[in-house]
Amino acid sequence: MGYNWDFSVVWEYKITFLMGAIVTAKLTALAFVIALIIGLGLAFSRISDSRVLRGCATFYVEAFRSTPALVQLVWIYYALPIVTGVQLDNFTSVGIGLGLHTSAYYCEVIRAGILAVDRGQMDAAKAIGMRRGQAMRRIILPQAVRFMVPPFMNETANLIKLTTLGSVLAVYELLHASNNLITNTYRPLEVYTTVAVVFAIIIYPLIWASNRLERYWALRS
Amino acid sequence: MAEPIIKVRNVGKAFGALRVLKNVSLDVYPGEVVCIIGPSGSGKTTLLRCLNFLEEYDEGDIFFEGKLVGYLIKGNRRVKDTGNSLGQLRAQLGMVFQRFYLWPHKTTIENVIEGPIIVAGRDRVSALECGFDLLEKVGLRDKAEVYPSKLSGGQMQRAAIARALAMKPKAMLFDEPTSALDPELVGEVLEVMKALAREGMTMVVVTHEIAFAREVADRIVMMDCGEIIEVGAPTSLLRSPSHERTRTFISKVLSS
Repeated sequence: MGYNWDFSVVWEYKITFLMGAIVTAKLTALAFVIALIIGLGLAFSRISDSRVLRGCATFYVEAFRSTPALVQLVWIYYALPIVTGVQLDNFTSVGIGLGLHTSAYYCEVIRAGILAVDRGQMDAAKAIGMRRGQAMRRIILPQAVRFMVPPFMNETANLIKLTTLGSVLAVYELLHASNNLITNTYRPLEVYTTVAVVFAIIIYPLIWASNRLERYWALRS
Repeated sequence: MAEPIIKVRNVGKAFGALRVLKNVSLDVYPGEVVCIIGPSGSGKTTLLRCLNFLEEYDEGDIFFEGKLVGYLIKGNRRVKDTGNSLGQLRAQLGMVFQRFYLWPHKTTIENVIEGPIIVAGRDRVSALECGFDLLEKVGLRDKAEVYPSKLSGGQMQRAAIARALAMKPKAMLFDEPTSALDPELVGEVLEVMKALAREGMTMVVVTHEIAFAREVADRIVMMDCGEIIEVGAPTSLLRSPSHERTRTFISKVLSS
């Protein structure tokens, strides 16, 4: 339609993309670790016998799932220092914010995986004298992982894409770097296309690994 | 007469407004085989599960070898036992479930040795030795390295029996062990149970297999609507039950 595609500008600024991708990866790693640890704790709290633990975990999950991730990030960066006096840098704020946000979704994935395991498996473990913690680690979780992997990979893919929100707080991740590039090169289509390709390169291996794991488990059973 | 190994005294249990056990009392003596029969919903499985506290009973007491099951007495209050002692008690009371509940991510031998290693703290070598012996005993030595998904129903149930026996229990609980099996597979499981009975294992068996009960049980307990309505030796209870409800149930079962 008369537009001249020119991807040479993308190649010219490949280092910019690389630097942005590295920051995206670091941000993802920080958020992932936080989300996994908190998500596990929340999941066990939601299925615990303690009404207090269950209530607190449920409140957390519903609060973070019901509010936009962007609002949560902005609040952590701007409002938290006002409330607590603690000022975090933008990278840490985004990492922690995305970690807290994603932990709510991880919680539900983990909880659903655990609940999908037949209750009789826990009964059989208890019947030979296992404590609940032992049964969870050795019997339930290894089976629950199979149910968790596909939705878990989905949420992780979402987390990686959510790192683009860091650009709102001037974190120099891939999207922010790309926006700067567009300002200099006036090539938004080429740049955004490349961003999409880079994200696909990062995310697709996760999806591929998830599919392979599902096939392996299906064959084994 | 010896002290009962299992004592059930005035046990009651409700799920919400539904009372599933009402004032149930029963003694089981060492070496005895007690079969519990009754229609669906009569409370048989709930009673069995209360014996090892997989279900929490609300009223009354259950004792295993003189120890209160599931609760601790603190002062004049009764509190739930959440510590190691409940696990130790359960290890002494082997349980076999209607749907086997073998752990699918472990091989047959791994299912059997999991308890001895993780719960009883035995070393892997001796646990494996005992495990292979038990699988030999139930006729599954050649299936030791196979995953449960590759076993037939009868093989899975025999593996489940071996898993319970691996903890060297003092008594065994069976919850309708053959109900989920095809008819041609029932016999192999019943033979294993008969062998256990001949060896003197104390057994409480919830079952619909009246022929098994007649052949192996020392006593048969008839339950209905959450209550024990009749207890007797197989010959008397099955041939000339005194309670009308028992007569109706047995005639229906035998005619089907």
